[in-house]
Amino acid sequence: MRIVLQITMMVSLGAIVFVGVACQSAPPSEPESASAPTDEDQIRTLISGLETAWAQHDTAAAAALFAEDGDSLTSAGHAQGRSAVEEMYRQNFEGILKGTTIAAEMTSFRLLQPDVAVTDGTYEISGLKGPDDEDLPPAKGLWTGVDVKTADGWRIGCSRPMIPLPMSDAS
Amino acid sequence: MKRRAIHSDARGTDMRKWIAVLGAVALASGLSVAVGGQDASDDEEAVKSIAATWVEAWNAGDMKAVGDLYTDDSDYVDLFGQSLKGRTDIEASFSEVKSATYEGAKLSIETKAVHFVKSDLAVSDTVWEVSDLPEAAGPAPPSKGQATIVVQKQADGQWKIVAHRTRVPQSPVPAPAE
Repeated sequence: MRIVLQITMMVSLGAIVFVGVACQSAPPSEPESASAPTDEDQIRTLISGLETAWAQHDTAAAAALFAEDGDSLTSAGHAQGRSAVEEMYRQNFEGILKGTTIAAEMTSFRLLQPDVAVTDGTYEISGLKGPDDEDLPPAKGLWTGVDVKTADGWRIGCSRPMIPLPMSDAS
Repeated sequence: MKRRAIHSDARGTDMRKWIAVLGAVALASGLSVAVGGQDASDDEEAVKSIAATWVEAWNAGDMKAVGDLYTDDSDYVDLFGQSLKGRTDIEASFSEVKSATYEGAKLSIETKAVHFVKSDLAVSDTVWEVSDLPEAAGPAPPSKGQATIVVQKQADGQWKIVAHRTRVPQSPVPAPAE
């Protein structure tokens, strides 16, 4: 009998704690106003953040756009996790991407779940140099992101850029 | 304070029973963690099996079975950057590419990594290779590349492809000429 009472009390206490936590973690009610940035707006902000970080070769700022376990898979290799992504940017900004800028645009936004989106777009990297320091034409490509809404806002979960093959190769 | 009162009240048999209850709770939560782990590895196998089923169906020329792996609203971007939306168009495109370019060729796919973004949503990176390419008059079609699929667990528990991207990795800077 006493056990039942103890369990009941523990459960009640637990319920109180749980309700407390639930209240605390409930999202603040966001008023529906034109100024509230949509999920899509917030991802566009991520993209412009990357353009700025890239132009300044700011590896920490570029990596901060990624989720903690975010990753990037490019022709140069796979960087898994924010610190690996930062290292990837550091190597690239000291190497083949030195002195370059990027312009990126989002062409498609698709919400798979309230906190996961697949985004697609185009990019253009300017200022590339060849092995003899000669100017190269801009590299144009496409990117796909799987973005996640974290406690800190939207972040890049997966980045998968690609350079399309020329159509003539289709034959 | 209340909790302390409960504990100081419990002694003797009651205490032992209480410990037994706690033990049972701990055991149960341990079991649920283990079961959760089991589910997670089952899900990883299920995600990997999508690529395996895909390649089997493609090699058998069964594009309906390939299409079955996609949700109705899935999308696909091919090697040339062309975007297709919806299972029907994706399936039709694979049929066309297979008969126009890869008829008789043998495809193999290897899953390199599965990254669970959520328990019911994963990104799977694969590499693909085509052998026994048919003789063609023009330049040889791409025979190696990467594909990334985003897969989501459906209401019936089945994993399906919601987004598919394929590419032949190319550096933005061409390799130095000889």
